[in-house]
This record gives sequence, C-alpha cells and structure tokens, in this order.
Amino acid sequence: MPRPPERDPIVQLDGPLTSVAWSSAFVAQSLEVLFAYIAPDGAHHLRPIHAETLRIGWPPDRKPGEIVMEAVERYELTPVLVHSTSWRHGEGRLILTYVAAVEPPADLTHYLADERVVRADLARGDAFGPPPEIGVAQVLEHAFRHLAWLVKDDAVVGDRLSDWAGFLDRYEPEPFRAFGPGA
Amino acid sequence: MLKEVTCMCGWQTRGTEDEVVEAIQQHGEEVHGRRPSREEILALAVDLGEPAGDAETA
Repeated sequence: MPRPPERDPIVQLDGPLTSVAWSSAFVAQSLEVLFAYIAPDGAHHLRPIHAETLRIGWPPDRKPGEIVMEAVERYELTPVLVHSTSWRHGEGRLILTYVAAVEPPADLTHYLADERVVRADLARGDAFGPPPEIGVAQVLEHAFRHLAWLVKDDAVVGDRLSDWAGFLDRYEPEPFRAFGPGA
Repeated sequence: MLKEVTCMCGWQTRGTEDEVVEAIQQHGEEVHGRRPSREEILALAVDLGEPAGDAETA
C-alpha cells in the first residue's frame, strides 16, 4: 500500500505520534514525556493540547530514550537533556516519566500548550505502597527535585542544565543546602 | 491485533484495527477538521506483529 505524501498525514499536519500493539490482558508500559524549558519567570511545561501530559506507546523492543528524542523532534523542539525521573503504576500500566529539557521555543507548534510550572507538595505513600493519587504537578515537582540533585552530582547534567541551576536551587532540600559552599 | 495510537495533540485511542481506524477518523473530523481515510491510517500505523500473551492469541 503506498504511503501518503509527507504533507498529507492522518490528522491535520501530522500522523499519530505512536501506534503500538496493546491489550488489557498483558502488562503494558508507556512513556510520559514532560517537555520543559526555563524562562525568566521559571519553568514552563509544554503539554499536548488534549492531554495533561504526553503519553506515548513504548514498544518492548525500543529504547525509551530514543522514543523520547523522536517525540522531541516531532514537536520541533530543541533538546537540552532528556532524563527519566520517576515511574508509577497507573491506568493498568507501568508509566515511565521522562523530563525533556528543551530550549525556549521560538515558534511553538499548535499541538502544545505552554503552562508555567507551579510548586506542589510531593505525593506520599505509606511504608509499603505508593500514594493513592499522583497529579501532574506532583510528578513535575518530583522531577525537578531529582534534577536539582543531579545538576550538582552528575557532570553531564550539570553542564547541560547550567542555565537551569539557579532555578533548580529552589528545589534543593534544606539538608543539602546546609552542606553547600555558603554553609 | 489490538493497537494503541497517540495523536500529536495528546489524544489516545485503543482497540482493534477497525476500532482504532474509526476512532481516529472521528477524532480527525471533530478536532482537526479532516477525516483521514482508512488507507492513510493503516499506511502510517506501525505493525509490530502479534505481542506475546495477547488476549487474542493466548
């Protein structure tokens, strides 16, 4: 069957981001990608216009980081760093969350909405189980706390996110601050 | 084979090939102003083969 012309895709301008085998009867996995960039007023989350976060299928024979990078490209964003920051079980599947730090977009695709990230209390579980509910703001909060640690502990992350360091300082837990250079 | 498809706008659908095609056509028409043909959808869909443990094949 001939493929349609490149500029004549499934819906409007682009074909589906992913199309993967699925069944409710086997353990499923999916990726959640949080596109984020730093602006003078803080971090911004670029979410798809019809979902709280971008969820994409993760075929078992594909490396998740490559799928995330393909998504960055599909949305015409410029990647700075992609890093997995958390996982959780939801909607009957394992969801692996990646933060995709990107350059501030000069011309944002109409498929993405730009929202400023606000602080949130982390979702907490008990000693033997996860939190009963985890919201997107809490996933972002956890992701930035994770990066706040990595930006000082991992040379690659520290280099790539050098523009983020001042912002991520706000996400550093108090005990860490006490051991900083100013202590 | 069952499929899960994610649109660029974040919308997702799951089901059999027929169900996915119908859902994408409805979504495209209602949300993006264009109803893609079945041939267009299937030409772009990724065929991954039968998954192990699929309810249809187990």
